[in-house]
Amino acid sequence: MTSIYKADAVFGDDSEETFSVAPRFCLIVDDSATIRRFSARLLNAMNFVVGEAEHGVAAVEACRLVVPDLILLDWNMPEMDGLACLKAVRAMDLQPRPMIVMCTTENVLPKITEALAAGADEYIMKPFDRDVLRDKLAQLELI
Amino acid sequence: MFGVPVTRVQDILTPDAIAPVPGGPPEVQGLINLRGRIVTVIDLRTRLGLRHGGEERKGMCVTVENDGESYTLFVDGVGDVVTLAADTREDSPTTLDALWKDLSDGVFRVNDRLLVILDVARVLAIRSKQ
Amino acid sequence: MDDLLQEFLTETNESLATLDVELVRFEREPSDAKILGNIFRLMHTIKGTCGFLGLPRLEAVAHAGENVLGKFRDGELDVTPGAVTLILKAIDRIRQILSAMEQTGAEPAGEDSALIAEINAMASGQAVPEMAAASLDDDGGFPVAAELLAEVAQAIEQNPTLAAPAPVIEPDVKKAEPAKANGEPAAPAAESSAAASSIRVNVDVIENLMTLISELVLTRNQLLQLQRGQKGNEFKVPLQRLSHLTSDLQDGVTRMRMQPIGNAWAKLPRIVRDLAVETRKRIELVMLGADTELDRQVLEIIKDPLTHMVRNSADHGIEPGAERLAAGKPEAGTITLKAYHESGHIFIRISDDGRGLNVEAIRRKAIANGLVTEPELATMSEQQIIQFIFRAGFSTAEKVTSVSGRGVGMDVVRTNIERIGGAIEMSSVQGQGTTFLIKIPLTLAIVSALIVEAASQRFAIPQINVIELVGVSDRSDVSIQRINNAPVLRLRDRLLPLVSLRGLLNLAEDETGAGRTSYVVVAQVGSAKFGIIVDRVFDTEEIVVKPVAPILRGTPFYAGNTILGDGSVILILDPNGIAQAARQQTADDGKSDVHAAAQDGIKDETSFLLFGTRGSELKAVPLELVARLEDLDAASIEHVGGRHVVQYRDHLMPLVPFDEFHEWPASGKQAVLVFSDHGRSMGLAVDKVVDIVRDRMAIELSSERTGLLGSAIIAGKATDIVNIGHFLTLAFTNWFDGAVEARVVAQRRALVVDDSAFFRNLIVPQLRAAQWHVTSAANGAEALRIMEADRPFDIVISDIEMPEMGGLDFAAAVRRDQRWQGLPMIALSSHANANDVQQGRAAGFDEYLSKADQPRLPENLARAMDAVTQASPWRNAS
Repeated sequence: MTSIYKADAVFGDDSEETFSVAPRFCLIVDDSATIRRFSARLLNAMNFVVGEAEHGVAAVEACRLVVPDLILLDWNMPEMDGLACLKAVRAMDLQPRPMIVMCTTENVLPKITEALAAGADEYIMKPFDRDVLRDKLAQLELI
Repeated sequence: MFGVPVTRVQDILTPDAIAPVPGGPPEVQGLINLRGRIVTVIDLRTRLGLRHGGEERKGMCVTVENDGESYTLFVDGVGDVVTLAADTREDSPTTLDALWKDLSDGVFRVNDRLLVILDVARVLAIRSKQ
Repeated sequence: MDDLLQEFLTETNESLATLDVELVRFEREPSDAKILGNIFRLMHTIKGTCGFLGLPRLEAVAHAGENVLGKFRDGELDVTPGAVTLILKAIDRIRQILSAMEQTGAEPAGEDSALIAEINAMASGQAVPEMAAASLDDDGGFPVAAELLAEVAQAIEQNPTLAAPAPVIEPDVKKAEPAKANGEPAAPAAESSAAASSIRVNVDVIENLMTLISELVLTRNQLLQLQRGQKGNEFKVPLQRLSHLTSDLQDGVTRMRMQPIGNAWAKLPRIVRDLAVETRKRIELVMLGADTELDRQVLEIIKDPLTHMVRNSADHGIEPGAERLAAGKPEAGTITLKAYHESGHIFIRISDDGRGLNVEAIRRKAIANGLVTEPELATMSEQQIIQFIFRAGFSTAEKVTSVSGRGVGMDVVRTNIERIGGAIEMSSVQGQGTTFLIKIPLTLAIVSALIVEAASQRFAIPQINVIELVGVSDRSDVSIQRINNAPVLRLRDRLLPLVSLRGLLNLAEDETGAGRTSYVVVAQVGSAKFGIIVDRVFDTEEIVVKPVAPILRGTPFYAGNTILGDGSVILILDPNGIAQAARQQTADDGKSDVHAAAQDGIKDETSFLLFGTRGSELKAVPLELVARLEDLDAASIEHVGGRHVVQYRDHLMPLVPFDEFHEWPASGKQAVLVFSDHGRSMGLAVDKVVDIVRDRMAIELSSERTGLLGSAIIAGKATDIVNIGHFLTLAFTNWFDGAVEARVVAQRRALVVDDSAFFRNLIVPQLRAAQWHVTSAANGAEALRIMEADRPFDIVISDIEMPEMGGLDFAAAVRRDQRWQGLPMIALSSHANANDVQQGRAAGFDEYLSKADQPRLPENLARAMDAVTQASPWRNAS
């Protein structure tokens, strides 16, 4: 049967979107609580249930508990940065394989190449808004 | 007879046990437990320079508040609350004891007796030993 | 306001605070890549977050700052004070904007282009007017002036403004109304463990909780007391559990309110740094005990006074580098903050090694303000005169600088501190520096306390002050001796000075006769111990410490008062206050000054034992060295092989007569001073023990007679000070195997490291006699800890064989630290063959002396100390 999930649509439309698909789980990894919260809102509106991690080490821990459908991974973090975390998560060989999107502020080709080679599926430029994120997730067929 | 403005009085009680403070100022009779708070007991007799005999004294405690702290005045007894016309207040007579003049805020004549009104703040201005 | 925005403000403010501290650290250690990495990441995150929320002003400023940091990281730009100042300015600007946002919820209108241009100019390596110069030129150092000047310079040089801020995408957050009632999205089941590790709670909520917990604790105490009266009923176990739960609850909530004092100090490095740059001085800020916790309310109240005092030190106290060098001080001035717990109080010490208070100026000001008259001033000591700065409206600052405001507002500082039941003291020596000591009671703290009774009145002593409890009576082994009417207690190898609580508080004298048991509570004050005699000892109880009423603050004995489980009010004793008061009392009574021995660790005075010897005047020996006083039966003394010995505690103890005139009694008693070390004892036979007094070690050293260190005026009389080493050698030739020259040197600081307390107590008085200020440690590890925490030493004298960390390792550790490269170090060891000496030298010792050559040890040591301290240019450098 259909399952209905009402999201907290804070942005833009006043209409409440209802979804006929079970929500997916996204892990947001970023050292800024503000950005995590911001992203969470966007994702909630797109039928995602969200988890947060402050840095790579915490992200790896979280993945041990629940396998995310999607990971939004920031680059610059304390303890363990984005690239190291990416490698660690891929090394865990989680099933089903989560999509990992690197969030980068710099459109620097070598870095992007490195990330993709290490197992990232996509990258997205910070700061992003609802539309940019939506497009990217659609590309990945997550929504 | 002495009086204090009733607005300054928080409560009146018969003290249970007063814990003495050895080494404290002579006016401080001790400390009591007032509903969970520790309140300093000021011996009004000593403060007013009146002699008193012996250890055990019966009396009552009149609790006042000053500058955020509570104190209680140990007195011989407590009488009524009286309302007196403000314009019948007189200045302390020159013959009044110097210390009392210092601590008082004027006098009233009540039934041929002199009622000395005490200024609570000044009564409590006991200089602690430095 | 929008949740997201609130989160942003909180998070970013915290990041800025961290940035402040880290930047100052980085300025000192520009090669530390870790710190720089951290700083860069913080700034980068701030910039990124601003982008998300559509905050262009903030993003632009953050970007400019990040740019410079990037250049640091890539080695393209030097880390100069100018550059760091600019970044700090960027941080201040961000803070400003955030502050406005807190009010309005949106970025305020404003212009940052001047600041950004400045920063970008710096980043591209172009010359920017020195901030310091700009500030000093105009009287008052207004920061804005510097900026304006920079702007003008810019315009003149016609520099193009560089790098526009990154393109801003307007996210939908702008259109968002405050979150609807059905607020945040539900937290997912698998929330990451790393999300938000702290929450914010309203202070009132915590207050209420604290009060409730206090009531709970008291009720629990009442229940426990009631239950004690009844044996083995079904309440016992649940009550115990309740008790544990309550204790844990209480711990948790108390901890909630406590914050480390480091929080109040967080801003100080930046403040001192800015001040130093602005006034062109070099100032070091040392902060010790930053994790000392105190109640948050108290923290709030003392935060400003502390900042004020540190500013004063930096601004008026510390002299400019040239002046300091001319005065023989290191170029950089040091301001030291030290916080610690003791006797149920928090102590905070703020000291500097600057020019000290100008007594003359204070004198003049005091008279000018009509606070005192000339004749009155004449009777006052310098220390008394400087106390005037605590009076209202007192300021002797020559120039009012914008830096620390109107000079001194110490009256406000004192009032604020006294309002919370604290006290502040100050001492100052012109040319050397000023020290403030703040003492604050641990309010609302629930502590464990020992309940004792004297003259039927009960008191509480905080458990942390109680080292030991000893029962004494006439019958037992342990008994109270009296020396010239002052009670002392033999406690293992030491004599413990005692204070009678009854006597101190003028309570009724003990009616009952001898044979009764009383108790001695051994307390510790500073580094010295003393005992308090009480009649009875009850249990240890948990009590809520409440500060005494202001009226009672003058009484030094009490650290607070409390209500026990049975509802009775009792006073909490303050061992520190008792020790001080006891000292005063004995001085007044003219009794023996034994009590003052408790202050040994605090001041540079020593307790002496005076004894009489036949045929000569009074002699003195430092009390610390004496293990016991004995009155031996003459009959028990045996004469064996030319020596006198006695069976003493299961071994044969040698007795040495003080001088050749000594007559061993055929019958009766022989007074003996026993010295012990590492299990060996020796008795010095004297005529009689006279007194114990206390005095500064102002010894005139002389080498006239063997067995004497010199002489001193003790309690008004010229008295010879005995060199115990000499007698020890007579007793045991290998105890360690003098003539001392008189020498007077300026007071310098020595650190003596030896695991033998006896040996330390031997060397220390000798050094003190030579006008050294001495600190001692039992092993290398402890010594290192002391060196870290204390003011710098001029010399270190160390043993080699020690537990935990021996002398060779210790020396190596010292030499590895660049602070102590040139510190003179002397080794003193029982092993001193050529190989040992070489090893010692290799490890880093400048001189290596043998303990075996005991008679000449003082002389050798003195000579060695001279040699090493003169050879090195080391002079209390930081």
